[in-house]
Amino acid sequence: MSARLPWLIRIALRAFPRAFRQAHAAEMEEDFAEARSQAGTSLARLRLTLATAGDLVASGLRERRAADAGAVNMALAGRMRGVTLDVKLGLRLLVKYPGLTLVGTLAMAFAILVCAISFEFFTQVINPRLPLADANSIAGIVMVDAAEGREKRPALQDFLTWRASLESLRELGAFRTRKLNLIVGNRAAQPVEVADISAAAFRVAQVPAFMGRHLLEEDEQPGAPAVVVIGYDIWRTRFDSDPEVVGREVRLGNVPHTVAGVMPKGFAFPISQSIWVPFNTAALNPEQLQSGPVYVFGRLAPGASLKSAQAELTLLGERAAADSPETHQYVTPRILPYVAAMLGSFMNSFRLGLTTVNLLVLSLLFLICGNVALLTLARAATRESELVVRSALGASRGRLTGQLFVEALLLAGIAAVIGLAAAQSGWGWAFDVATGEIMDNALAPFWYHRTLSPETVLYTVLLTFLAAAVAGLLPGLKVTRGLAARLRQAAPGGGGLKLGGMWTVLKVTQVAVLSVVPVFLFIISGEARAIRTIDVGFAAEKYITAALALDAVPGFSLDRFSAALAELERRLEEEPGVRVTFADRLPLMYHPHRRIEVDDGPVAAFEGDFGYRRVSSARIALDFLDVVDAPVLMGRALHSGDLQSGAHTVIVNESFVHVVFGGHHPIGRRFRYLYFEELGGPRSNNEPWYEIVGVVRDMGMSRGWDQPAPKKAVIYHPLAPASAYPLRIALTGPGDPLQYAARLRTVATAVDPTLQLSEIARLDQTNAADLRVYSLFFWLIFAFTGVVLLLSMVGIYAVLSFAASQRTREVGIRVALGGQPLRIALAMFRRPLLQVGLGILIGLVLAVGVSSKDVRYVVVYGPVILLVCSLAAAGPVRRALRVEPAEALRGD
Amino acid sequence: MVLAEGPNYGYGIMKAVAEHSLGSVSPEIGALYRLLTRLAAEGWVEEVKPPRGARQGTRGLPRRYYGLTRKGRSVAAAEASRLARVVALASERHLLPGGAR
Repeated sequence: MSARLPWLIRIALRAFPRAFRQAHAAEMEEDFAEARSQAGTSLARLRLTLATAGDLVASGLRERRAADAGAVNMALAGRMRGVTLDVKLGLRLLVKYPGLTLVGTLAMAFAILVCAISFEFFTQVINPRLPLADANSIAGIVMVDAAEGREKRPALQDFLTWRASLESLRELGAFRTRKLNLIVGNRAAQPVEVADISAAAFRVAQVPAFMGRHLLEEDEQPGAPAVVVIGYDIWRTRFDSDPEVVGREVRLGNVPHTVAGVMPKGFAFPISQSIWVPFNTAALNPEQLQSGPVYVFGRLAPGASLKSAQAELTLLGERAAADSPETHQYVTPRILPYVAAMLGSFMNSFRLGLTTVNLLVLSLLFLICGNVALLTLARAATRESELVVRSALGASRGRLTGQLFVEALLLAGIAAVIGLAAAQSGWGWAFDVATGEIMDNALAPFWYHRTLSPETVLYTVLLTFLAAAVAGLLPGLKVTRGLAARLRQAAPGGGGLKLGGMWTVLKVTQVAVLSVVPVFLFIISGEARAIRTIDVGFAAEKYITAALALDAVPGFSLDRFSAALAELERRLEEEPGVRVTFADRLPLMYHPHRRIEVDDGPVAAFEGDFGYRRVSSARIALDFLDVVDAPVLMGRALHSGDLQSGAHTVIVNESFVHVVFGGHHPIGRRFRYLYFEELGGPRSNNEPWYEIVGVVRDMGMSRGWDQPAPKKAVIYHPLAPASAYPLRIALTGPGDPLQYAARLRTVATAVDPTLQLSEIARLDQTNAADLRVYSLFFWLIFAFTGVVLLLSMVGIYAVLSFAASQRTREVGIRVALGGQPLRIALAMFRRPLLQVGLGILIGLVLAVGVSSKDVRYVVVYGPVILLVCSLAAAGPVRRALRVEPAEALRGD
Repeated sequence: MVLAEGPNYGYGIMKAVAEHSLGSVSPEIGALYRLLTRLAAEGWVEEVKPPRGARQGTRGLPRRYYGLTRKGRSVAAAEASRLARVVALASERHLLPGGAR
């Protein structure tokens, strides 16, 4: 038949896919033959042949396309089925090996938590996003001083010039901040940070007032009534959420203001302010305009860019340099993104450091995932037979590796969800601790937020895949390498897989890290213990303290400050039993160190390697030692004669006598201060010599990071009126000292409304915040060590167990040949123990680098690690020794 | 529709379609077999045992016959009903030649 079929039809049939042809070509040929037999003429036959050939080609090609599309869909569906199967298998394995699942998930979750928090910090510090409308067009202007090589704030006059002429920036505004006492009604004053700010600020921020109105241009006109706009929190706490607050009168220092409006919750423009008054530039004289540094900000005009605005500013800068060379010769204005302009572009210098931290933290993820990989590998090794069989049944290497990857991805996915949730809580908590404890409840700049950024979530997703790649893909590739060769050897598994040098390096590194970390723990806990156990030398819990300052308003002077303090003391001490004293630093507080040289009398050897004598100093009121009940042990107390100019007399503590004079009689001895520039250079003879007139017992102080010695040499200078600013007050009286807090505020406001009191606390609580920070660090590192230790042990156990199972056959043969079990066990132990030992040794060397003093902890801790590792090895070794030789051999 | 009369083979189907459509539809061989394959994949059409006296091919073997499955018959019936509704609607709207009924 086919021989009689026209060649055209035969060729046309080739257009169909082979499968289609095999199914239908014969029938199609029959149909064509029948149709052809019914065609009457040759012409009709020819037409039929041509038409059929054309149809066959067209239909065949269509069928081919459809078949191709179908094949692709089939392949996709097959792959999807494969992935679904992998997911199911993976889930089954996660349930089957709960230990691995638990340890792996927790460890990865911890690593992801740390990575996410570190990345969030990076994001918020380096790439902050303003939570304001069209935030990218908000910018700020700073001055770059070429002579001093630094950025500084523009003068008010610059701002006024720019505001009059800049076209690339609209709504140009300026602000500066001052600390002033806020007095509401008859309540005691409380200091707040006030922003003198242009009304343009509120148009730049584009945030409407919550109540009343925000500041307007007319408020800045000379003679306009003094108004103030308050933040939501101030309205809530200082005004008890008064709904009629708009129109109420308050005093800022001694100046009455009318409340014009309340801004909504969270509004803290321009940085972290919560109280705003008009920036009355018209009332300032030319000198004030030149001197006052201000912050300048604005919005880019439509169509303008930072570059075009910079071009315009440069032109204005050149004109200013020509007009006023004495002030502007070396300074050029520079426009910067808002946050950089507000905080200074030094923030950029953190970029490298923060990137390094992120990379370090990322290496933690790798370390942890490497351990999970070890576990996966050890487990995969026990499934080697299964893998070999699957490979024999046609599973490709990619397919097998893919399955291990999906398993690891599931593990990492669960870990990522846990880690991210923990990171959110952790970040929120750290944010609160940072603003509450470290920044003393100050508002954080408004662009920082306590929720994770979308960037961090995205980063976590990437990390999840990375973690799955390390924990699943690498072991997968390792296990499936040479599977075909093992298949050819017909080995059912066991002994085919070896752990390479990479795993050895990982294990050694890990043991080394484990050995060093406790040193940090001990250092930090030691610091915390040192703070907690400071011996103040008197009953600090009976004293209340506060920082004292004056509003920076016209009328400010040190004499006024002194007079206010004298009056404050007089009124407070009118109450029976109440004693008040002043100092620039109180015991328990941080005292920065200074360097001194002493007269030619006998001295102690230099402390440490410094080559100079380090001491601390404080200025104390004449009655200070009396009020804190610290009697003079030698010589005399301070008296009014010591306040005379040229007196230069001081009292020192007992430690000073030992540290500086080596215990030799100190009364009448002399010393003077050295300054940094004098170290190594010619000494200035301008510093006066001070004479020691008395010795008092040690009163504890905060150590600070730069003061290693527990015993501090301290010099107490007499506090002359108007000689130090700001100061601290210490008050004691009958009963709980905190009961005097309210009275202290009331009396201070009555004495001088501009007298600011802040940081009111019991004296023994002054370093509580430091303690909390130390304890935070301690627990963070403790958690880190715990997780790494646990994971490390499990990892080492897995590797040893794996190695033991690989040597089952060898052990069996050796036992069969009459080998001593002990010798065999030692032979098996040797390699892992050597690795652990090497790790501890490296850790020891690293620990010496960190702190040679605390190396003893590694010496104690190292054997502990060794012991735990031996225990980890014992189980697998015992198992291997118990194997009957015949059984071991039957395995093959 | 043609197969609703009973099983038929390829050329038989082509001829029946041409006759029933009064020559307006005359399927070509390639298109017919593609269609048959698709209908078979849907489960509407199946190859059936050649009936008694089935036509023989040039090799002397009986031709392959196709018939409607039960599902195929239901689908055909549903399609016919749909077309009947379309025709009724067209009739109501005076779209059929010969005017309204």
